[in-house]
Amino acid sequence: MKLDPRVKMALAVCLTIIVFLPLSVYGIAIYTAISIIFSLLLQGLSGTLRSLRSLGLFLVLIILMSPLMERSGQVLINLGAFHLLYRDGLVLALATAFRFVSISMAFSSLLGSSTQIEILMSLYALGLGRRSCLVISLTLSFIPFIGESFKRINESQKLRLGEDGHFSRWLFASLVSALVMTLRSTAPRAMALESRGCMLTGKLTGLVKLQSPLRAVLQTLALAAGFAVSYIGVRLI
Amino acid sequence: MKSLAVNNLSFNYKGCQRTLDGLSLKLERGEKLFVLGLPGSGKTTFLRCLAGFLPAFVKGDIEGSAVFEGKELLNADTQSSLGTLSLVGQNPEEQFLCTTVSDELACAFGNQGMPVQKLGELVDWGLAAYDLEKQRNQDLLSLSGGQKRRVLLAIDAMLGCPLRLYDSFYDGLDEKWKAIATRSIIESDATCICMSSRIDQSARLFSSFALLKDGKLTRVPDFQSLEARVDLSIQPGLQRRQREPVMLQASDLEISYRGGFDLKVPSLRVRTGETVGLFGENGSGKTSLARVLCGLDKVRSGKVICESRIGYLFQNPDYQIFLPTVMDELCYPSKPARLSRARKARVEEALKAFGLAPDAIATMLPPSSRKALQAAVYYVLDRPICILDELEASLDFQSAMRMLRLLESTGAGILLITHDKALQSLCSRVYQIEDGIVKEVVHEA
Repeated sequence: MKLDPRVKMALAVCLTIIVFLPLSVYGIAIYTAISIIFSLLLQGLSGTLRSLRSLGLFLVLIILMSPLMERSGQVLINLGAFHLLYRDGLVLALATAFRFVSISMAFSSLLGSSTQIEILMSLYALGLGRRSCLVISLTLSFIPFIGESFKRINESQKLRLGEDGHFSRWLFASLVSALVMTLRSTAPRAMALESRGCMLTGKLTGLVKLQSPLRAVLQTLALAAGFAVSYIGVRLI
Repeated sequence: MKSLAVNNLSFNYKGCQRTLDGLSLKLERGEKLFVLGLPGSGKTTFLRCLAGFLPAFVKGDIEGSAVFEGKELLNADTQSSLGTLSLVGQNPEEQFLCTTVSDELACAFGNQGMPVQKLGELVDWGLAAYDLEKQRNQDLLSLSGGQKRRVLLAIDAMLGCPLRLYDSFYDGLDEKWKAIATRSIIESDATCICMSSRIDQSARLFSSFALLKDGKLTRVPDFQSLEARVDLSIQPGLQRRQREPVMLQASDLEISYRGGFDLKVPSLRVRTGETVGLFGENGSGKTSLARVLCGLDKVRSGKVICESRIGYLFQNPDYQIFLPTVMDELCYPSKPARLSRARKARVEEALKAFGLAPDAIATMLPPSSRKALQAAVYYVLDRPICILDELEASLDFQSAMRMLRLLESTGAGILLITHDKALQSLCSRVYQIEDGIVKEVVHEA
């Protein structure tokens, strides 16, 4: 599915807001399913699975830690004399996990299905200043750079250590090295920014042709209306 | 009329000795100067000073003046130099601001508000001129080293500034692109300075030549005079240590790459004690093949057999340096204090052989020393088979050859990936990538 990046941004914002409105855990689950469907439509199955995989560790932490925060309601699991899991704790854990997945999928489908320049031009069209655009542009270009550096450094360590290397040692050394590389590249990158006129004021253009603002506004309104109607529906159910 | 006049330019990084020491240079309008400088001679520093990036971005003391067409360049606001000068730096990855090739090409012009249609036409021209059309929407980081370099050269040509500066000009480019890039510079009206640590026959086309040494620039009358000052003598190989024979063997490999090429390797062998070359054009799949041979990437079909772990020197040494000091790096995964006597002796031998200071901060070393450290690591690891991916980048011929000879002395089998003709002559056997197939070709060592 092709959507204007501005509409995708509105979609991500709507999904983020709606899962924090008063809803039952079932309601939040429905919106999580909707966010996954949008992700499938926008970035395909492989992109969606990749995003979901990257959330795995955090989801485990949420599921393990959240029930301990809420200790009221019906006791579901006892560990001897200790009440391990309460019903409200389970609901809180599920709601937090669903919200986390929903927001992550909304933004990963925005980032996964748009190029850096599309996002930049959309933010600029929405009235964001040149300097703010520059910060976002840099952030978006640094993410793949750090990712690539981390991957290469990790590979290099594997080649050096083979099976003798310990995972934590690899991870720590690779992370530190990727950050050192990033820090060292700051000066050349700043030079590149200057030499490409990124600090100039005035109109910003790019290869991306955004659709007409009216169409984007209409699509966003339709999307917002859809969410409003669905919210009422979910509340009534 | 003098176009560029540099007078007594001196620069030292904060707390360091002078990198440039009273450098003077005068260039006519449209003159093309080729400057040869050994690693660490100040090539990058000189160009960054001219571009106004030093000391603005890296602290240091600058003296002297540099005037281009009546405009002072030193300490100038770099924004005001936009449209006047362009600089193609050493490491392309550090200069990319976007994620795809076409967006990167459009970036500088989009920032100046160029209308979308005109921008599209200009980008199309840049892609066509530098043979990057197939890579139009490709992720910049997935390009080969030579393609990354071509992206920067395309931007430079599109900007069309009257003063153009090139650092490590020939690094990463194959013979064809060295010639095209040189011709494109020569045919432009711009005043150009090209820095390189190696001499290439394409450089004959330049109108003037100079040597950068000890922070000073010395003009030489012609290409032959410059060539005469370059030591291209082949040092005899060191005594190769006898070791248990190991063979890296690949057969019937089929490799697909996201950049769009398919590579077939019917047969490739590297034995301990021999130096084998792997040559091919930019983007032909040399690095992809090396990654497969090391087990970093999977293949569509075929098999790679090697009874031992393979050493692989990446094109970019920065990915292989991750510890604070040179000593830590060479001792890894052990701590320096916990090394066995034999390993300690090996580390000390490597430090001496590669000219490295044990306490030097690894990531802050100049590019040539980082490359030496990268090679020293594998010298210590003593792998029976080593793959050297564009060893010559940031190095002069003698330094690259010395590193190769030292690694050869371990008795290892070396697979050397290079675009440098002089280094190619050091190989005993050669594989060439042609039309997506790796073939062994007749080669005169």
